[in-house]
Amino acid sequence: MTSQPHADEDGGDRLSALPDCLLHAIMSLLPARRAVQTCALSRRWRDLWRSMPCLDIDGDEFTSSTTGSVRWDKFESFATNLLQGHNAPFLDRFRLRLPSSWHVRGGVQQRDIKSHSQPDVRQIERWINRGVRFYRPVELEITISVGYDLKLPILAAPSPSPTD
Amino acid sequence: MAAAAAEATIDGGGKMIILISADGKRFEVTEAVASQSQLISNMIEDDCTENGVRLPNVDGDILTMVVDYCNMHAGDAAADGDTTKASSTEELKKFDAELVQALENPVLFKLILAANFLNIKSLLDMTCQRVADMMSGKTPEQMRETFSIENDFTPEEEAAIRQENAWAFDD
Repeated sequence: MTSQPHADEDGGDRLSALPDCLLHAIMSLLPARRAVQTCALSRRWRDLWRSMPCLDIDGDEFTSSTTGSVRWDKFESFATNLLQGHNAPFLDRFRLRLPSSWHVRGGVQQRDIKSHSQPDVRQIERWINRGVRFYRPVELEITISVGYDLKLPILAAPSPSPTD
Repeated sequence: MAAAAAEATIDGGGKMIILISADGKRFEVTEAVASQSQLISNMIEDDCTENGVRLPNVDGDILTMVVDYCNMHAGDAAADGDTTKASSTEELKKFDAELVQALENPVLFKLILAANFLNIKSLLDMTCQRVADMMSGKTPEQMRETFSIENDFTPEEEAAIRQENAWAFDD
């Protein structure tokens, strides 16, 4: 990897030169937060995330790797803002994975008054509703811990098959 | 997929077609191999591969890689009876891993465009995954550096966009 001069076509930003559909395909392989962060790359990227066809909201992105505690305020703010700002008419895939340590914390503390460090169950229901009813995704994946009193939307599938 | 099998006997006996790259290089491959490209598969079905298939936006060096990939993966799509020809799963994994690891700008992106144009889904998925892997765990600054992305925001604009989307950035 020397710094010898390359022919013009060999250097440069070939990633940004890809058509939107391919950039979307690549972004769809990233967790949603990383995908949204591409908005700061350049003008080309500023609004691409708003129309990407797959959303992968991964709660573990908001779990501290050192302490293992979940930053619910960040997570809620992220998911809510993402679903507000994202405006594709439908999705190929909607994936919502709640932090895996939820059951550990929440199971004990569910009776507590909601604070910034606690999940708001109604809020999570709103995300799921939005994901399912608004986007009508081809592929739907929701990972939640058992024992929570979430009201899930009724899927209009001919024979609902529980997948988790 | 179904189109690939019909009359072609996989090993050697398959009907051959010629692929011609943008720079005029010619590649002779079996229909079974070429049919992994949905584009070419459709052309075979429509009977218009007689005089060779010109691929005006794929260079010879990239088409070499594509043909290698398709040769290697021909076993996937072909009838499962032929165990001698079909590469073992292990072998394939190793081949794919080595191929994708070696891919760098600009070849990676040329290959993505070729896979997209030729409509070879598995190759497109694999190369897009490679780019996503190169992006993952990186800040926007690091992504810019990795892919030589020019930051054409004014400092004010960038600050504004980060402010507007502060919920997606750290702390």
